[in-house]
Amino acid sequence: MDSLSDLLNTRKERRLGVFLILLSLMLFLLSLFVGEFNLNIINIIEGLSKDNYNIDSVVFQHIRLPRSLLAIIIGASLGLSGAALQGLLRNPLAEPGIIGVSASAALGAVLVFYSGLSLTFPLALPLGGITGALLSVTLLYLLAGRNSSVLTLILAGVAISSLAGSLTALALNLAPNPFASMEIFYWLMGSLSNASMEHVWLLVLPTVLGWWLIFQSRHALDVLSLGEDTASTLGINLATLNKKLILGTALCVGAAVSVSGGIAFIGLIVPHLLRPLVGHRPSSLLFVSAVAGAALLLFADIIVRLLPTQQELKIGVLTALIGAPFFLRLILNSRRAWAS
Amino acid sequence: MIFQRFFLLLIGLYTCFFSTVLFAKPQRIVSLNLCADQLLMELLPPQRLVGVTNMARDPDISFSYQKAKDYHAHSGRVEEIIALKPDLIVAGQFTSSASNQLLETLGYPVIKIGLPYTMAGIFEQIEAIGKEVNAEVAAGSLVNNFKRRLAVLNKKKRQAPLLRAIVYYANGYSAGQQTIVNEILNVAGFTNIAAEEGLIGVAPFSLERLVTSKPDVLILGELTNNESSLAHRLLQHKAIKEMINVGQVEKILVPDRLWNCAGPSSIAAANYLIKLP
Amino acid sequence: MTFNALKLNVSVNKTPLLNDISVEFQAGSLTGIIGPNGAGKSTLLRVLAGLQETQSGDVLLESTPIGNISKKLLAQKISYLPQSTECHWPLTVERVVSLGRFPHQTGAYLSSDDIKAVDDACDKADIAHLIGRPINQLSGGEKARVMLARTLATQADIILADEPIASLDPQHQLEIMTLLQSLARAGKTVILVLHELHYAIRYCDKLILLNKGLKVCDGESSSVLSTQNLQNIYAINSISGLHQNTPWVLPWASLDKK
Repeated sequence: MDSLSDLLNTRKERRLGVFLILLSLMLFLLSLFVGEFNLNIINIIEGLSKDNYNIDSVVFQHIRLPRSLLAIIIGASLGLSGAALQGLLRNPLAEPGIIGVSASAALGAVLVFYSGLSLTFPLALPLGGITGALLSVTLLYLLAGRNSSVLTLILAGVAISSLAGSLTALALNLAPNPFASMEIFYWLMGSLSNASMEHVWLLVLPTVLGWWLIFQSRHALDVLSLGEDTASTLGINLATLNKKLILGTALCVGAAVSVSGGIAFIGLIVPHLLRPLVGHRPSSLLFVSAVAGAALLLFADIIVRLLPTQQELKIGVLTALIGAPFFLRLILNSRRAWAS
Repeated sequence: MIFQRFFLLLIGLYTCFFSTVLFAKPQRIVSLNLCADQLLMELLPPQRLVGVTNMARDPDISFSYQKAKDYHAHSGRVEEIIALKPDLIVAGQFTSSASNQLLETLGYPVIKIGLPYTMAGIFEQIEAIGKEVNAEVAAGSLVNNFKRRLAVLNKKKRQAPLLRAIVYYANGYSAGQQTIVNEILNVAGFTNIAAEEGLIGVAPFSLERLVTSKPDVLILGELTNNESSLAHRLLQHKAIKEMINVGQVEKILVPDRLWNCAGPSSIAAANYLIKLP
Repeated sequence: MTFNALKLNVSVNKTPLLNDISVEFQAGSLTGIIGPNGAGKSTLLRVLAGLQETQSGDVLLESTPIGNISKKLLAQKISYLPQSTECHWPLTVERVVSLGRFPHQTGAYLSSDDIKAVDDACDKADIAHLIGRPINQLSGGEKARVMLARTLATQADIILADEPIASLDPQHQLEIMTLLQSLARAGKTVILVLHELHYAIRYCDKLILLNKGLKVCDGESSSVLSTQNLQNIYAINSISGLHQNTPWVLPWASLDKK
């Protein structure tokens, strides 16, 4: 039988983390070189210098690279925020897509984008997404945080999703540009196509800040498993913890959605699959969910690019096709446990 | 007995009326379609073309926007159209609008025009419409005018090697084979890359394909005030700017009104591309 | 280490729960808080743990109000074991117990001292054989002992426990009460909320009897659990006696309210 100190160490989890990092790197490289056009590596390397800048460089630096980086950043944010929300709300179904956080972020982004505000002030776009996300996470915490009943959380999520979704449709309809009303599908389903390095720069600051806030709280999440009272007597300031997690989630999800639209289910699938591998500890789950989220989104994006559809499939459609049945299976398996 | 005779009389009158409508030459024509507007305005005076769409006066989308000021514009609503007392209605083939169908049900003759994609097709359409609206002479002279201008263009345009051009619309669409844009490009002396790559109709053409197709000329729509949509943002993607720099691509901005319809505007579009007046 | 409550007044939503409660707790003693349902026992314990705000009054640790002590330091000195044995995620037993070391940790690192404390706590609560198992697979009694071990792992000077033996079988009830008593003898301040009068009278050095938010009396166990108090406060008749020089009491009959 393992000694107590063996059981309490995190060697297994570190191995899992390393494996996931390697997997993500591999998928990243694959993503850089998969596409309609076969890139010539030599041209790319030569093109790094201004004199030899060529078309392959343009495709690599301005189309493939930003898209792959966004997949990593956004995938990590989605996986991480799913795990964080589940720890905060002590509920395995909490996920930014399902509980309406993505829809609210999309609403915020849409208001900023179609009013033309983001043309004069580019940072307004992620700020709009973050504001929308912040409002909804706070509302959700107030409605369903104390009472960790699954039913309350899901109902609150449905209400917020519907409200945000319909307000988004309204905003798009009222927008002056004729293309706007057709773009609702992009915002609600999500897509990484036409990503540019400008998008990456917009995301970096709020995302890293959000990740930092969430990671700081990881041990407190473990203690929170014992309930809010016990956690408080073990020295955790609940108000500070909640604020950090809410703000952190809003920052990374809000910024991500403002650039890619609402990609759902990554934050549900990834933590759920990894939780048993990390002994169900919320603290260990955070990092591996982030890395696995990045890997999953990279993978989905590669598939979307390889599918022979005339117009590229929205990536959110793919994640929903995988995620929704997964969600249904979760419900079926745990019906009795959640009936209370 | 009396009822039978009354009934026959009614049928007789009805047939007379109907044949009057069928066989008389139309005097009052209303157009329900922007492309039909432009074509008909070349053939008919305002007394005969009693209604055009209110899009005809929009300089962003109507080539004949100045001419349209002389014509009465309607809002497209059926009551307004009926009040114009038309005896012939011209609509677009692909707009299966409720208005068209309602007007047909009410007994108004409706003819539908398609979207030709060759110059020859345009000439045929002008002549056919000319017959329908009793303006054959005007139609004939319009066609001759076009053929003359086409000949001038043919002499002035660039000979081989042809420049490779591609048109890129908001949302990442291009115009391939079987489009009027393709024909105009050919007439103006360009090779249409999208057609070369097998694209048919107006269809999606990814950013990556655009950048790697190495065009000599990139044709975009003229910028308007309203660029806030994802569709329009795509046209400002850094990769397009870089492609223009690296490949020393010539960028031409073509106003939509020059080629969103096939007809009177098409020669003007071709001239615009090779910078003829 | 002195620990006492001074003139506590607590009301929630305008309902008074505790009225002018003052108590002193001695180090090295096991104190029981008893009383009928709704007396305010759990509320008092929560106030002592710093979980419940008071309208007036203070809880003083070494003459400092606990509100003025940092949360982390307070958590090292006072351990609280609530009634519910909820653990939201199916963590393994040793992980749950190690959560008790949180007030002493910096980051995730568990020092050898921490591990020793966890080991010790598991032994004391008799759950060493359960190490490695997920907590959701344990019985109610086993869960309760794991939670107690978590409390013990903190090695705090003051232990507050809300009905710690309620779901245990008689053997474990006796063992845990003996354990708590020995912890008190070793110098800790142990304060329990108890329903089981026979354990209260046997193991507690001091009892505090509450009724409807008021302190009826406090003092030595047998005198608090007098026949009269049992009749007036608990509305029961009881029988009592001595066994091996230790008093016992047994509820016998309910008194009619009429």
